[in-house]
Amino acid sequence: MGSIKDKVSIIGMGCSKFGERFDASREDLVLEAVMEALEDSGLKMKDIEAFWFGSFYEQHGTSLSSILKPDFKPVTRVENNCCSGADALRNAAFGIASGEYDVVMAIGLDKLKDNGFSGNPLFNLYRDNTEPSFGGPASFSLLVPAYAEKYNVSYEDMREAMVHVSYKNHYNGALNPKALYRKEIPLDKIRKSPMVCEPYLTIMDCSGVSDGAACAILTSTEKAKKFRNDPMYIKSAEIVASSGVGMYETSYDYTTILETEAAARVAYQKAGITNPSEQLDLVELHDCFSITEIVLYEALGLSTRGQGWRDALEGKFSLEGSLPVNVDGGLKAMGHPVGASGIRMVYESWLQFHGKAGKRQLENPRTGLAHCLGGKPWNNVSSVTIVGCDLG
Amino acid sequence: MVGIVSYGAYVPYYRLKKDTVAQAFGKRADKGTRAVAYCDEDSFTMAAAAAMDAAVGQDLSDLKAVYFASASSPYREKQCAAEIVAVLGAREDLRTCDVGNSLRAGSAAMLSACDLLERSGGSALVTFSDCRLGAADGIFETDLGDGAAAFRLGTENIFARLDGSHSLSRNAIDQWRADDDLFLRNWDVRYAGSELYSPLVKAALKGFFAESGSQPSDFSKVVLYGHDDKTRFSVAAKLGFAPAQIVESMYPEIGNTGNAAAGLMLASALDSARAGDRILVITYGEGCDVLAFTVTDRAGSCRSRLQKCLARKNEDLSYGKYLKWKEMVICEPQKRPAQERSSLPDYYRNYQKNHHLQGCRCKVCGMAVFPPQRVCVHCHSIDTMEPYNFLDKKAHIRTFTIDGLSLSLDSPNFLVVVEFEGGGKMMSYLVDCKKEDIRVSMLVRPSLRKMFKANGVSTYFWKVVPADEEE
Repeated sequence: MGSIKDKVSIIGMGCSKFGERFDASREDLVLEAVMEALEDSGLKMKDIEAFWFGSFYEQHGTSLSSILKPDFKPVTRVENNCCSGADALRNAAFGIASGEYDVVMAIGLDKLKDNGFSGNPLFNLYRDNTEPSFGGPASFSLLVPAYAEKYNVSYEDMREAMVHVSYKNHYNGALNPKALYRKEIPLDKIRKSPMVCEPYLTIMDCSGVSDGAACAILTSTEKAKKFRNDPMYIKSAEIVASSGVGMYETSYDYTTILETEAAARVAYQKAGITNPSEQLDLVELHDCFSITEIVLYEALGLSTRGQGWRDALEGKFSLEGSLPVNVDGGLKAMGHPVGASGIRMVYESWLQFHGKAGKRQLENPRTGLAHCLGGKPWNNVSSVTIVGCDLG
Repeated sequence: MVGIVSYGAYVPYYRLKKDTVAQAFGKRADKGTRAVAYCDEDSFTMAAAAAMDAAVGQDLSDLKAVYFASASSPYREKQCAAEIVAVLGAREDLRTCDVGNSLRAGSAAMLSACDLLERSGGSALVTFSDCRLGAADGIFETDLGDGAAAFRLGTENIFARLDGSHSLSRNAIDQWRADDDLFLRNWDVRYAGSELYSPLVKAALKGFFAESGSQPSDFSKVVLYGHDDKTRFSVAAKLGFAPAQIVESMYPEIGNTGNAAAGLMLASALDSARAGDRILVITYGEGCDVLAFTVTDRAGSCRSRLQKCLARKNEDLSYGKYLKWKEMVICEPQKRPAQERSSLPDYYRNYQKNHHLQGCRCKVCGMAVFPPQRVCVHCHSIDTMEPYNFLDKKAHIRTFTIDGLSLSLDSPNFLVVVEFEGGGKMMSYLVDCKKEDIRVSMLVRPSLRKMFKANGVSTYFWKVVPADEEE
């Protein structure tokens, strides 16, 4: 198997403010991110040779071209559930690695708050609709009774660990001017938040819903020096879809994410990471719900099995902990404009590597990981993107 | 010789206390309860449940006809009997018929089936089901009930032989529901009792006794349909029956279940019957049907779920929920996109999965999978699958959540992962269970329910309900 490690560089990034952007159209969101990236890289729109457009709800590539008006350039709309942004970045990287283009853009966008519903809208697939109908909160809350039972965690301990995950991500979000929620929430307020999926999941265990866009400009590492002397290198960009095991086999026990394990295995191998807790300096992971974050600590190899809840309580992943997770506030405080999130996560490494992360700036981070998960715990697509500011 | 071979019963889990309704309208408390179909049940799902009860352990290969008898079919145009055939997984070269519009639909269907079997042999399945609606704050709201019964009739292995019957037709109108009526209407009950019910039952019995040469004292049990117990017992006394002969109506517990009422009374009589018992059945509605049975020495070989249904109940139903389930109040929609209709081509393609909970098993590696598919998840073989029935497999809950967010007529939904013994699993809803009783590993069994109704089509599929170890 080949590898794109260090072959592709990011030379500019931008990210809109995430939030309930009733003030901004889709056009406004796209331009907010794109103009920041162009300014950052010193490039002009005409320098971009091709676009990969990651979105869950936008319909076509022309949704983007009608906004940016590139001069008859290719625009590929990428849909891969919550990994749409990550997959746009991955395919843009392949566009560079193939040698076909010199400079390309990956951009993610979704605008969710204009639909008048709570949560995310559903698609009608013209099926027989005999399956139960439920959303993200219900599907991820199914992880909790299974996890608590398997590892013999008491109800109180389980709840408290989940409370601490939400607390941490809100704490971080309060330090991020681009976050949807920019307020620290007291532990006790989180504890007392109303249930949405009993017996474990409260409203404060759910990530936010927001509008947003994020983008990255890519070139080959060979040519990167021409644009700037501090590019960010792509170490690996892996994406894995369900094997069906979690969906159909009783061997899957609802305490992990098999697809994430598989994506991380390959991504670590290609990036040369053997001890992720030691070798990674920051991790942005798909904390759609607090329980997801706990299970992902284990699936990504950041916690040992059955210890994720304890690590959450002990602060291993806080800003001051040994491995900060969701430094920008995560989906919890940023919200989750589906197609934008994968690129937003990489943007945090970009800011951190360039010392631009303000009050949440880490000390000399060199390697970052971004993880997305689209679908249900037992049937999803997972992506792991690893970036670094050093070659090799 | 024709008779009942096996039988089944279904009464929904929920009971509405008459007291609950009285309180809602600031009226004096009243005793008694009525059975209430859950918001995912209707006359068809209840009939299917009773039919499955009647079919337990039965070989249906000689089935010649299936009937659905109800005055409250979920469809004006669209047959339910064919859907019962599909749910039973029965042969399809048979006769199907829905009989409706009358409280004599059940007995009419049963007599019609018996006539058919006299000629053709084999067996037939007749379901009696009703889910009639009374207007709020009216007598029918608390006196009607929901339920179903089913009878397998045949010419061999007879449990209760049909000795004879007599029918009487009289265009007498005392209860009715017009084409555009939601709720049942009636005339003054005193007129209906004294001028219609009493003389018609009397005339029909007179005809039956004259034809059969029998008399009231010949029968150990009498299933006598009447709109209420008071009228039943007063007419029974006038006709020369002792109160002990009259089979209990169960009205005080489950209400008057319409077509199912006589069926459930008959199931109850058969559940406790001894060989040689003679049972008289009298139904009423625009006339009367009288049927006489003698229980054979197969007494005790069959038992319906009736007593289990009566015992496993939830009497805490609030009036608000009742009104919501019956769609009698306009509620604020949840802040979610509306339920999309089912694609009928896709529903039809998945015929065996949807009607019969059929999955598949890989002939190469033995992996059982639901829903059916062509590529094996375990050994990746393609097109090596054989049909595999999940309906008769033991099932347990692997994990669950009580989902207060998704669309539902009765939020929260109890969303569960169900694992089948021998492999295979499905996402499902757990119903007829109190939320504090849900546990990982609890035993459940599939129950056919209405997932939702959209575009006028009810999408039926399998949910799960708590099960006993012995099931």
